[in-house]
Amino acid sequence: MKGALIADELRVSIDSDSDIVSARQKGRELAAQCGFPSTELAVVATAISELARNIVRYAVRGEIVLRLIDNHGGKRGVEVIAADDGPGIPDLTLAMQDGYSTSGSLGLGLPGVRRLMDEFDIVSEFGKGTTVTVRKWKR
Amino acid sequence: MNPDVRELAAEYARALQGYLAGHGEAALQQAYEVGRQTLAKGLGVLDMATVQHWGLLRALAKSRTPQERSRALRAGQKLCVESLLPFEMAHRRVQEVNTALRDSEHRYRNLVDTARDVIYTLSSDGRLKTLNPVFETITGWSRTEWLGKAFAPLVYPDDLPRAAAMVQAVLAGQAPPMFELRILSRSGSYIPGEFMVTPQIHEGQIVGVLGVARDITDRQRADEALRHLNEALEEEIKRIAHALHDEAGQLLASVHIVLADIARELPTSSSQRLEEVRSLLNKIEEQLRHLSHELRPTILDDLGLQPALEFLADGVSKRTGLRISVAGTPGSRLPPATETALYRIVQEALTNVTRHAQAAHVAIAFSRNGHALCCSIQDDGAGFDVPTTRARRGQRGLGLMGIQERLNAVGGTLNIVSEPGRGTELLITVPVEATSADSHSARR
Ligand SMILES: Nc1ncnc2c1ncn2[C@@H]1O[C@H](COP(=O)(O)OP(=O)(O)OP(=O)(O)O)[C@@H](O)[C@H]1O
Ligand SMILES: Nc1ncnc2c1ncn2[C@@H]1O[C@H](COP(=O)(O)OP(=O)(O)OP(=O)(O)O)[C@@H](O)[C@H]1O
Ligand SMILES: [Mg+2]
Ligand SMILES: [Mg+2]
Repeated sequence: MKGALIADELRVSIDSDSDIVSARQKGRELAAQCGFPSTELAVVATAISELARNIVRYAVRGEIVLRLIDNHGGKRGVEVIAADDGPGIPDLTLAMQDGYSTSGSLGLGLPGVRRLMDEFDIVSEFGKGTTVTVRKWKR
Repeated sequence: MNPDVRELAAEYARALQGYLAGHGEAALQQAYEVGRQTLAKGLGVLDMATVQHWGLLRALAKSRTPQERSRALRAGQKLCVESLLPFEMAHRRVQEVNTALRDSEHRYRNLVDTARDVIYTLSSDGRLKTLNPVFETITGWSRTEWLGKAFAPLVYPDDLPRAAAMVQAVLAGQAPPMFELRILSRSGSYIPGEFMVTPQIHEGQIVGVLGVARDITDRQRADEALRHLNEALEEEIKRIAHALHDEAGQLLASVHIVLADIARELPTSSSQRLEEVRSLLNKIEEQLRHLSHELRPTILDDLGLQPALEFLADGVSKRTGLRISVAGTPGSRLPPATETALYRIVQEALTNVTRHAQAAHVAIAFSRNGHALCCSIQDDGAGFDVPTTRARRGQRGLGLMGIQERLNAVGGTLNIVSEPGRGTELLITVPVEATSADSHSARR
């Protein structure tokens, strides 16, 4: 399928570990359309991995939306939105801290994604769910 | 090989085999997870490299043709990137921390380099470890002349025991209050400085002293100017008091003589009226005498603070109906400047009570506390909001400011405790052993 243009917005519902793999793959393919070098594609795949992993672990299910974007100045990039209706995060400042984890894990995911991507935004309402939006621009 | 590494290498090799068997993204994800686990086990990038190397060797061993081998190499490269990404996240964290640290260090440097106060550090044996640039501006010394040397020769010999005591206190973990030292400048004169010192801590241990010193030459000059001004004012008040007392008194005496003459020439019925005039004149004379004494009570010079204050309280009481009590005693005679200051302060405080407080009672109380004399002036009147009132200082109301300035000049402090509806208390302390003469003898 190499070279074939796929739609510039994709939705992947996240329910299990195998969904993480397909979200990564779709994200990588979409980002490849902007001409990202392969190491940057791996970066995008990593961000998707971490966000999807959090959905599976903390919210059980959710959705990842992948999108091609441009900034109206000729710059292109990719946007990843990870949304769920899970328990939400009571303290975002804490959740964004390195090493903070409520599951005894590394606490690497959220702060790691923030550093790998160019833009990072997280909205969470306790009891209602979480939405993380990240972007990577092609240099 | 470390058993953890062996296990991770086996998993990585499976991922690589999987990729070569066409598992694609799932194999990449698997390699990524190996990287994450390597990090989670506390292993480093070099261990990761070992894992990758091992996995690749296995894949190459299984490759039969050159094509297979070059496919294995390309796959190895892809998986290598995936498994390194968790380390990349950790690495960016360190970079971010370092940048923040550098920025904060830079801001600190900037602050120290542009500070108008001297900022310095001493090692535990009293040597100067660091000095900021303003040290050169203030003292004329070049910093290199002092860095690494003992600080003691910089201090005026009489002040050295105090300086040494403060250093010892800080090294013992205490935080001493501000203190003053005279510092030798390059020209040979001494500069008065106000010092604040705290322990310098490295990994939980006190390793030296961090100090901040301010050149207070200008402040001392201003204090001195104020002292002169107050002295001049006292002289002027003395003159007015004498004029009231002596000259007005003389005139009244002459009036009495003239009245006596007239009385002799008048019929007895009219001399009754004259008697009334004479008694009114006596009252005026009494009032004039009292006012002149309050203005500049000779009692203050002759008998000291307490009798003078009792006299003042008595007069204010008679004029206004306030009940005023004076309790405790200021103790032995104080330097004249201190006594005058305290007298004027109580005078202004009582004026404020009569003008603003609508109080029934004022309690003036003295107590000695080591080197400090404390004086409290407490009324049961309206009270006021202290922060608001002090914030609009200068706009109107010179009384409280005057009190503060008089206290500055004698090294005292003022504390106002008041709340609307709760009365007012002025708490004053003045040091009573140091004579004010030796605290401003610097820069000769
Ligand atoms: N989608 C989510 N819904 C609810 N809570 C979440 C969600 N994502 C993250 N969190 C909370 O935020 C914390 C931090 O997340 P982060 O991904 O940084 O670390 P972690 O998942 O605990 O550890 P690691 O990602 O290293 O395995 C989590 O422990 C969890 O409490
Ligand atoms: N004992 C007091 N009780 C209630 N209010 C007081 C008392 N002392 C001072 N104040 C309040 O503090 C203000 C400032 O007092 P300050 O003596 O500085 O100025 P002033 O008395 O208004 O004017 P000045 O003293 O210059 O003639 C007063 O205006 C008054 O509102
Ligand atoms: Mg996570
Ligand atoms: Mg006043």
